[in-house]
Amino acid sequence: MAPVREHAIAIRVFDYVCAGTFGGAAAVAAWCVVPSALSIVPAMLLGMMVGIVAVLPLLLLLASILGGFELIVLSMQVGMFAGMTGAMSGFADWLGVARDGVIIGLLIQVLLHAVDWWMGGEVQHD
Amino acid sequence: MTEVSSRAIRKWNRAAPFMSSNERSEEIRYGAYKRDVFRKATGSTLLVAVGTGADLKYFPAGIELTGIDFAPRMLHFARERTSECASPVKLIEADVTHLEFEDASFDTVATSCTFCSVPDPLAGLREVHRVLKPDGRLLMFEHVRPGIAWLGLMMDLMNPLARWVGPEVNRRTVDTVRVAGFRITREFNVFLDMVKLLEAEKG
Repeated sequence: MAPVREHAIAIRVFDYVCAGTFGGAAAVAAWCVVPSALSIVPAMLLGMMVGIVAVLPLLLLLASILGGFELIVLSMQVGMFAGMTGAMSGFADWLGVARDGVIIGLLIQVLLHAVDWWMGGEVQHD
Repeated sequence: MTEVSSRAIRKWNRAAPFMSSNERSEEIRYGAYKRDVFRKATGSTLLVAVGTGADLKYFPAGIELTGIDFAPRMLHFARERTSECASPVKLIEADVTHLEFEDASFDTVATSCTFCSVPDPLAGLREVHRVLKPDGRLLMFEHVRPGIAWLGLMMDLMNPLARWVGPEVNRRTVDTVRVAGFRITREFNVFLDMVKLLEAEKG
């Protein structure tokens, strides 16, 4: 029988809060740093890099509360995609950019949970 | 001692206080899984890379547990935790790639996030194979390189930084266990196919 993790719901809630936080921070950081004059590909690449750098201090902070490989995988992916979104955003104010980043973060977390649910548990060997 | 090993020892000595202060997270996320696999330890048991001793509490009563680590500072923290184990614990400073135990000395060998940090994992697992009795069992809680291409690539890119501050994040430990001569009897994915419980016997 599969082991049952205590506090499973609290862990999931924490991971979703982290996903939204990573997303908002990465998107706003990329929106602030990446010049709007850049063409699409350099802006996307720079946005990804800025997004990853922006989530690192948050990762350290949140991992000190409840760390784990889940947070590392989540932060890097959310940093990349939310950073890219922030760099390409046409919003004039940071609140709209942050909202998009949070949505990206939550979507990635939903996707990760779905893949984890699909892959998790016993692996059958022939 | 090789230069690689002495560098690894310095790194893990530095990491010991940080790991000691961060154990609560590991326990909340993975404690149930570690308990599930380590409760199966029987007889004379070797815990490779005992670290700060955070996993000692997951082992059952009635075994003789020997914990080894190549970082003396880890053992310093582990000594304060031996009372948390339901069985008597002996701690020894040793490198898994050069074990001084005789062949077939242990009924069980256990590892917990060990082969992400051993500089030569295949040499370490061959030594584990040597010291395990013919009907002995290997119990592992390990993180490995994910099989999902995108995540695997991400771990490859992150690895230089991760290796600098701590463990390697793209080790193919399941394959290495097989190459070292073990037959995997149970594989359980804890998170994606990245964090795993493994049980194996001598093949």
